[in-house]
Amino acid sequence: MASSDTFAEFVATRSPRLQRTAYLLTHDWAQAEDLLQMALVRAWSAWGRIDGDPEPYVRKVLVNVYASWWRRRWRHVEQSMSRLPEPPAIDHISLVDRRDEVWQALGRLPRRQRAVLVLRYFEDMTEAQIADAMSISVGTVKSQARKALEKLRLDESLTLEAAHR
Amino acid sequence: MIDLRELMDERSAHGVPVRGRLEQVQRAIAVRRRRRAVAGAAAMVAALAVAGASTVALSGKPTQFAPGSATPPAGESTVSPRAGEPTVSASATAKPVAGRKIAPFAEYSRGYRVVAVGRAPVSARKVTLTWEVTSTDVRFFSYCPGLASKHISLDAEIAINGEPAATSMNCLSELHQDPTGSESRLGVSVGDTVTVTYTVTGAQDMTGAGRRLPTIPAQGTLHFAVAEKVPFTQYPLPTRPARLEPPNPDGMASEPGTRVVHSDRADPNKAVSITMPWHRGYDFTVVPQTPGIYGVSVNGVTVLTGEVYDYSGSGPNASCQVKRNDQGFCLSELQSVRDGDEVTVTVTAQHATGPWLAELRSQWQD
Repeated sequence: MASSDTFAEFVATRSPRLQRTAYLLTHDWAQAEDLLQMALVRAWSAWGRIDGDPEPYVRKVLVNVYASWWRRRWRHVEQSMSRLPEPPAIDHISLVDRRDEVWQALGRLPRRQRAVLVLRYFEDMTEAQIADAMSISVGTVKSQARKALEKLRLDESLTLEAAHR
Repeated sequence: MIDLRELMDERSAHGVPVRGRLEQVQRAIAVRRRRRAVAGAAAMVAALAVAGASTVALSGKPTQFAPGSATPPAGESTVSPRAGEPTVSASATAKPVAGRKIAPFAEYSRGYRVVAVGRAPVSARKVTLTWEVTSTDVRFFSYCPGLASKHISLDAEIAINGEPAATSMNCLSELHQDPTGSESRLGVSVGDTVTVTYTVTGAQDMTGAGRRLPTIPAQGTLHFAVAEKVPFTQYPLPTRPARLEPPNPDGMASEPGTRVVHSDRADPNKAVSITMPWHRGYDFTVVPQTPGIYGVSVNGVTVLTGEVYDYSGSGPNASCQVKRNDQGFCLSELQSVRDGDEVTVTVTAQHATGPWLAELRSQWQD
């Protein structure tokens, strides 16, 4: 795996997907690009030691870099979570508006909770895989996911069903 | 019912195709190697640069922009941008004032001060600025109002004194002035007069899967700014709110292994130390009520330092997971610490005028 060729190929072929993950974490394309670039730079230093598919390793670096970034934005928005309005009756709001509301609420989640949801729903990772990627216990993954979904005011069972169908 | 996976898939599909990402990564790797090789020397230069910046700013030496609103002050002409003729505002500045704008940019933002701004029609594709360096910690900002769509993104490259820099930018019709994340080092020194050129090299439409546009749009205006780091003591802080909430712990505080420490009631600038068992790294967060410089050290080794410029309650965070073959995140000075060792964690604050709390954990799990 220790080859600049494989690294170049990896960057060319896997970056678009990782960029999407980075965007879901940061909710900002410019920051997503910064985050991805930082993760790739760090991954390069360990490239020779990676066995097998490097994508899980790079994704892990991505999540950890995200977790260790200056957290001004995360805390600031987290505090505003309490102002998320109660969802109006379904006949008073379009589904589009509701989706946008959920998207905005995702952006206000604490970084760990957001990362758990992104890995769980976008990357389709198991709780064990998320625990490994984030270096937390499976129990913490479960509790963070539950808290996040509670904040999003989603019906967890239905959402999970949708995610795993 | 909202399908979360579908929502994430939909929202992230508007990706921004980045041309030359590999080259950017390779440049960043090269810069990182060079930086490590000259780390000691760089630290010395940075210290001198900060000292130099302090001297210049305190002396009230003229800088390259017109402080005030987007409208230049009396005595300075307003130049409408014309194709091929980028404009630069220049005049003397007075003492720092919070909240001022320099053209569309906030003069002060997150520790940085805009020192030079310029604009040009997008059709000109280029803005060139010249400024005298007072800090080697430099950031660039761009903003392109008037593009045909908010989904249009312009690719741009930066050149310093004619030489391409390891920095590329995207210009959108929404203003982002966030210095977070940039790692560029420009190779400039305090006192240098530097010319920076911002050149638009392409354009993308980010709707759908994203596509590169065959031509660069002609409509819209390029705004480009150079900003330099300002010493904390010279940074104009916002007015203190009449009422401030106490620092509020976040979700990390309730996670297993987290210790929450509070500032001294009488003196928030007094260091607070605890001991805790070390296990595979750390995760530290400071939650401040007021602006200040906050830091955390482990056994005397500084692992976190962050400057806070507002009263939002936002603070710095750092984490490090020591694992075999994964030492890149951690400081080499702590590699001798073994799991189970008791370590002293010290939280420091300078210029704080209110309480803070810190969430401290050294309990990474397998």
